[in-house]
Amino acid sequence: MVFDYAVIGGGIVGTSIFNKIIRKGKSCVLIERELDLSTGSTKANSGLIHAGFDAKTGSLKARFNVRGNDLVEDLAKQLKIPFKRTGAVVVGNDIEKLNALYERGINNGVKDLKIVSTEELRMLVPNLSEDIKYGLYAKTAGLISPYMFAIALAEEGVKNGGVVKLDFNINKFTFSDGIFTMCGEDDEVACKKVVNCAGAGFNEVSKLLNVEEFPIKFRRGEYIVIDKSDFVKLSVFPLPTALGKGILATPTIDGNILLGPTAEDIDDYDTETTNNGIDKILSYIKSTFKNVPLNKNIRQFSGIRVSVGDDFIVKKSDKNENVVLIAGINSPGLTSAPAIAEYVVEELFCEKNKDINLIPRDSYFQGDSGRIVCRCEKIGENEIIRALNSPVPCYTVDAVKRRVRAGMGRCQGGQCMIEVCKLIAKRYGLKLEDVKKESKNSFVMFNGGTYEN
Amino acid sequence: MKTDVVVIGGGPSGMSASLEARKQGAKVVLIDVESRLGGILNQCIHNGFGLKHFKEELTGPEFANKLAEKVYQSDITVLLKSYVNFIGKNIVYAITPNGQEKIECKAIVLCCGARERTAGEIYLKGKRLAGVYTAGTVQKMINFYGKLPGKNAVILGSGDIGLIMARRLTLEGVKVKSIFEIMGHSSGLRRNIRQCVEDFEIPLLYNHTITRVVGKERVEGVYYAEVDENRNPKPETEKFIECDCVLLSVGLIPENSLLPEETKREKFVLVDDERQTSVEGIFISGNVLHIHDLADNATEEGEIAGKFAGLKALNMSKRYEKVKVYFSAKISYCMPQLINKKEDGKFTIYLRANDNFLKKYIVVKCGDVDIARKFCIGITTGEMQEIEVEYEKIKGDLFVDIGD
Repeated sequence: MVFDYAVIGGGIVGTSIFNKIIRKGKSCVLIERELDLSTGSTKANSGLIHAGFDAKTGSLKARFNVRGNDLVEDLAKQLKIPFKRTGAVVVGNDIEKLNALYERGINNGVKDLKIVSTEELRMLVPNLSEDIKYGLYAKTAGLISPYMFAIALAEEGVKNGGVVKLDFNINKFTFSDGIFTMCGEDDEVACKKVVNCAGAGFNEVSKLLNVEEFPIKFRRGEYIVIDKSDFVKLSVFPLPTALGKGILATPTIDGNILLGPTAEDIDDYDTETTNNGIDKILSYIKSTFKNVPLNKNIRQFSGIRVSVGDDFIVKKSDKNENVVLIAGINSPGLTSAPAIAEYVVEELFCEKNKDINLIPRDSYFQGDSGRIVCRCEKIGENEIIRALNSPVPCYTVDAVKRRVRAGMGRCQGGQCMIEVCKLIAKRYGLKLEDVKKESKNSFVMFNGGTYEN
Repeated sequence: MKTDVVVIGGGPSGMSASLEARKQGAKVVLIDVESRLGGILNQCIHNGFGLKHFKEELTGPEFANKLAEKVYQSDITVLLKSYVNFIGKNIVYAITPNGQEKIECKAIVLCCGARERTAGEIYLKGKRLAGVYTAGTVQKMINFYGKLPGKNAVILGSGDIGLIMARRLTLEGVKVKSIFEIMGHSSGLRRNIRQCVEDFEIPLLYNHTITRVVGKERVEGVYYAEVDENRNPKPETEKFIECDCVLLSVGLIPENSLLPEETKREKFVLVDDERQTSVEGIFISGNVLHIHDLADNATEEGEIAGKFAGLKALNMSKRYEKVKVYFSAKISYCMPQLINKKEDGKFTIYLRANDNFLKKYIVVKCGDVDIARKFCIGITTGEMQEIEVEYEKIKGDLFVDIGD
């Protein structure tokens, strides 16, 4: 079969576009080289739906952010994933800068923005240090699980006829008679139009497609994850700098607290956490807040933001009009994704007909939870089994973790990891030693005696 | 469902608490999340258990079985594969294989044990790769499933589980390249250092820690360094060691998330000599209260909590004036921290020292009077000490010290 569209890259942008194409009643295949969707920048960011006051007026970032913020609420409801408008506040003593940010927000079309007094700020953020006086409060900012957002978009797409191909590493592209053929290791896919939203892998894909490549830069952001706490109830930003929105303290949709990210330019895609990074977060957070529940610290991680200049690139290729190029999607990429998808599908590909009604996806959490497997997050065996049987394959320990949160709690999988491995092995007819943590060679354990993997 | 006492957790402490509560005449429901009783003992297939409590040397499963047999011989109701979701005053909610169960009771004993401190909690730097596990997870991997975490291991931390696993890995053919301990001494038992590390000639580097875990998809090695007196790594001493798995034995943390927040304000949950918390009717014992070196001690503590929970449920407990237990800077903590001023009988204060001492006395004072003294040849940070005190000698608050 020849698909109408192929989307390359299973991050939040790819899954949003995939979903949108299915909504237009067209056939689409989503290609991902890893064993799960959302394993790049999508799995390692702040999980914020930004209001949109930060991006430069007139930029794609500003446009897509504000529109995306509008679209997310309904989308999340349809997808049966949690989303909450908890709000965000930028704090600082430089009232002029805050006012400038306010002005920019108004120009970008952000609703419900206001500068708050010291008293209001104390009410919003009781744990803020006393010497910080003013805030810019954005009521429309919200929280979502970025990976669950992407996975749910893809699941709904698959349930309605879309195809997701994981572990598909494209070796070769051919283009003749208006048909692209992509060759993987043991599979071939044909399609009429292609979207390259491969994130960090953008240039590799562009090279194979023989279209434009861009100078992509990597910026690493480290985070500290705190166990469930009400330390902050909305996202608290410092005043932005040239490097980004700065280190924030935010709740996550699941009730954890995230502290970070740092912003460090690096040469290679490398998700290490470092002494410098963690120290930077700790010293900033300690100077800005009181009662920081650092004793409930459960994990650190780092994510890579890719960038090409200051703005997003979302456009048709000049070399092949059947290819759309999407590159440099960093913050506010998560918020913008639904708006990017809308623009790409409706404007660039001119699919202007109304969205069709889709069969809804099933939540993993509907019905009996069964025996509790993950004790910290209270996740039942049946919930894990439902995730393992969902429309997008769920092969790895981390894939299960992203879907149902088994292993996300304070013991970090110490109790349930092997049980999760057992359930994965049973589902796919594997041996325990075949189960992987995340990537192709990330085997969790080995057979006793013979270690030949 | 209605009962007198609900015991949450079927490890050594929970089983002994159930048995003692039943002995008082109370009806008992014992709940555990696993499919068999025994708790963590089931994966501790090494010997060294029971010397104190059963006066014979047993493996973990043998120790567990001795208690489990008694539980099954009694008419204690055992709910397995059941997870307690919430506890309140005289109420326990559990998810059982038959669905949600609400259990009304007159006393609760919490014996949910501990969890292991994770890589995140100690800010272990580097990548989050396959191959970094807590020692207890690897113990389960090997002893329950016959699988190995890798071929060349390093261990961070020299707690008892780490030491036991160093031996276990070696016996399974895994090369344990090194154990790194950030402190100048081990928090493990002396016998474990001898039998698990020295006997197998495994390098144990004190004042060292892992600075970075590296690899592409699985662990390929770690950087480690000596630490200064503030436990910060000295960059000039950093070295690389190749390995494919890292085990963490960096402490246990009481898994007391079920307890009401008001009981958790201090470093330890405040209990009296009956192991009752500040919430009337909620008792607590075993590793969920404080970390024990020996299953035998957790068992003894379960007996205390179970006995008084049983009496409480049967309205047979008496109220007494309480005194506090204070301690000197040489001691890191004492358990219990509150004592009922009973007329007669004895109770035991358990304590852990902050430092190692040779040929010293543990002294319990009441005002200027020594009401208990015990000579100890060696006191280490790794081994819990205990001292018996007679109730009738208590005149006011107690002060525990290590002295001459």
